[in-house]
Amino acid sequence: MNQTEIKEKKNWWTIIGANLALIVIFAFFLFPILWMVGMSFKTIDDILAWPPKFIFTPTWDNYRAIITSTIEQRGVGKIPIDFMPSFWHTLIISTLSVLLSVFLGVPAAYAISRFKFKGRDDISFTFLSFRFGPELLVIIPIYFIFQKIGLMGTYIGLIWVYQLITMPMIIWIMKSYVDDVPVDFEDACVVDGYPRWKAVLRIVLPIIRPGIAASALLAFIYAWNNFLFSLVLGSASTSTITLSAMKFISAEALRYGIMSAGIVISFLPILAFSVFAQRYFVRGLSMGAIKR
Amino acid sequence: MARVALKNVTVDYGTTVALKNISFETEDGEFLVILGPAGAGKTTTLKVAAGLVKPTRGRVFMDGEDVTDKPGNLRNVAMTFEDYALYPTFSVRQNLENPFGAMENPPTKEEQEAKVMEVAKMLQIDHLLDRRVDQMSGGQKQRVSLARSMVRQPQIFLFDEPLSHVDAKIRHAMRAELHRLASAMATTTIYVTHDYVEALSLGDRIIVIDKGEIRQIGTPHEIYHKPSCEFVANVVGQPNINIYPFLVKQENGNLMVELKDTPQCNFSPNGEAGSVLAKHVGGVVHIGFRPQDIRYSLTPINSHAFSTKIELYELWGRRGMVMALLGEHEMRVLTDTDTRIDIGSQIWLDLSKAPLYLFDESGNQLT
Repeated sequence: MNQTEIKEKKNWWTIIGANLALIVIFAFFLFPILWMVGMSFKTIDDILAWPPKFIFTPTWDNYRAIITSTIEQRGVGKIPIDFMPSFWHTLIISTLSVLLSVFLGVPAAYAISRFKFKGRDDISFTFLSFRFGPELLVIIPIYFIFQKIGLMGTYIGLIWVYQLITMPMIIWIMKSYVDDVPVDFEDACVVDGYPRWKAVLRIVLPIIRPGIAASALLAFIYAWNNFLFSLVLGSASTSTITLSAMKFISAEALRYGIMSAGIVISFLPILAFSVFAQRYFVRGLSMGAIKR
Repeated sequence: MARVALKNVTVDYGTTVALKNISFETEDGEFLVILGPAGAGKTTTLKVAAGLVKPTRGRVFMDGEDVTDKPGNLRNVAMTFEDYALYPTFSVRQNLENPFGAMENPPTKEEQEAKVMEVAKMLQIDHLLDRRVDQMSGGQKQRVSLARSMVRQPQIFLFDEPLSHVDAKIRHAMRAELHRLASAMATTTIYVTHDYVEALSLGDRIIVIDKGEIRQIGTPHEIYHKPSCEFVANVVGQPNINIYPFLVKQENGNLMVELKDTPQCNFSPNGEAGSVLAKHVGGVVHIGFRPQDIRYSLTPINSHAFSTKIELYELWGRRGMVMALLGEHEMRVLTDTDTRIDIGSQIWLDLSKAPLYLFDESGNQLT
């Protein structure tokens, strides 16, 4: 056996070993999700069966109940549920919150990164503190304020307080991206004849686009999963999926199947957004043009 | 073409002062080189001229017009950056076309393409136009960055260390190229470098700058042969000039200089240097010797020669460098390579025939 063959053999074992380890890790983390997807296609009897059933006849009943917003139950008739409206509420609130945060947060991040101004460090720290301060800390004052000015249970009110979740994330991630873009790029574009703001839009914005995609996705996930703000400050007309999912746990029944179907539907937008944002995640576009 | 002038410009970056009261003016069409070590304020000077850095105090003029408050995009200057600053999301062609997009009356699409092609051909990057900027070598990026500054007719060119990241062989060719381009375009150029060879070979005039202050403005000849201070003398020349303190004495009617603390190293200066030194009898002067000016021998030559031991010898190809101790000072001497030189052997140095660079004790030129 010559040297290269030994090397190749060793490589094969490393590849197999690494993949086995990955499969074990994936199985460990993905099993609950796969089981939940499975449950969403099971009848309640299949779900509660012991030993657990890995092979079963799938049913669309759970999804039908979610989408038609009614549960048909033998002997009881039709029970209304409000999952789909909540889905749309959440989509509207989360999307608009993230859009607003991107429109305000990216310029803010640029300013914090590039300009020296009085109180810059204090302002950036304040933004950061929104993330590590618990929501409970601010919810009671906000509750009273919203009651006074009539923002309780409105989209605008929720989008506004969701900025506490989404804005700091976008500002802090984007600040580090802007820090990485050499000022020389902008300066070069200014010398080429563009006013500073055009130079930023033309040169800096395309470079930091992966960062915008990444931070917007993270912010979106946090907004999507938020529970407390919508519980306290929302109303039936703005109730989010986190609240609706909880309603499946009622005194009269634990509707595992419908709950699972609801959760599967609720993570679809995040999945779609992730797939869309993935191609922007390739960082390092700005490297290579500049020698450091 | 334009004349650029900085008048008493000071740039203050918060706690550090980058430029202290800088004043100079270019001639029309002049090639002006700013020479200095890292952190001297060279790039800041360029950025002030480009309108990218606003002076804390002082004014900037272009053709007599005060442009201090005019932003960089309205000054019609072209600048290359030390790190090239090529836009990474653009192709080479898009990089070169970028200045057209900002023009009020841009040339037609065909004219733009023709101009880009002309400049690209001149700099031999026409085969790279559709590449991405991260797929190029340092030398290619350098030429793209030069090309971007040349696709339009700017009032002045500002070059920030354009050859510093290019490897030695290309650098030589590029230097010649730049010289040719500059004289062909006859546009006022300010060129920043830390390499004295570039400065001496390219510049009509050189500004030597250190710690944000101008040390000397002069032609390459003046900078090399009449440095205004020890700093300037040290900046030009490789290896560095040797500068030591000497006592000036009058012995039996003859003017003598004697190395401080090493009386056996002495000689009698003559010519112009002698008449300058005659005014400082009894005092201490700093005398500089360029390493290539020192006569040396491996055998005893004459009574003036100072005998010492070779501490270090480096072969530099066409030349060699000997390091020997002159009293307690290290002295660098350039040698030919046709004789074999051994570390530890004796060497005789004759300082009396070398052109002398005279400075007072604080390092300023002595006249």
